[in-house]
Amino acid sequence: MLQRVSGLLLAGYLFFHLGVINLSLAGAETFDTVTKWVQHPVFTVLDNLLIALVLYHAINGVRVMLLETGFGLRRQASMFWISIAATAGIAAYMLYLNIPLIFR
Amino acid sequence: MAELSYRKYEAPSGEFWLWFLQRVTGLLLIALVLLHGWFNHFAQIDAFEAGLQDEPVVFSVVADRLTRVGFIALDLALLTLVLFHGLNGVRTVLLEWRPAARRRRAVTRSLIGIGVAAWVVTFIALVVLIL
Repeated sequence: MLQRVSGLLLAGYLFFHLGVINLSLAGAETFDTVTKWVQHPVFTVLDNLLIALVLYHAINGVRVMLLETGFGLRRQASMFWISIAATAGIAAYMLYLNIPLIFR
Repeated sequence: MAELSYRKYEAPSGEFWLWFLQRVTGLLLIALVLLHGWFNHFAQIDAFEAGLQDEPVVFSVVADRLTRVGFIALDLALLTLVLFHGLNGVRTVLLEWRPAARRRRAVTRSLIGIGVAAWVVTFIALVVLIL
């Protein structure tokens, strides 16, 4: 269920992201004006939520594939919490890397 | 003597291949998205801090990166796989509502249309950045 919710959110974001990148069609100036706006610290914080969402979807996707192949069927609950912990850990590190962009 | 059971050979259906490709593209995207996030965002933070560029993402920096074949290949692979994976995932969720066959086809065709349109427009946008 959460895999579907995170997937739909990411699909929505994908089209927002493509829309911004496709501003290259409107020229370098427009591209830089809009990309500067979406690199405001507020958006960088939102980016970190996006990173957490991507990590969750990726790690949970691997978990689903393992379960589909019959691996870890008896450890489903602990595998779910491991995927949450791995998501939180890596996301926290990415947030740390982004500190110079948030407090500029 | 027990008779050999006879079963008509059934070719894997389209749905099986979509299910299978969803997993293959998912695994590939883990690697591609990591590279994308690293090179396009995190690797630019040092240059930003050193005052070499206004922001991590600037037209000239992106265009400069896209002079290299590896980055062009990365972006094209990412664009193709992420559109397939994303829209095929949306299709799976929509078809779980068990629409009638006619509606199923409409959903599939609309999503293919959206995917092809988004691919073509973004491809042209990438060409603008490359040239």
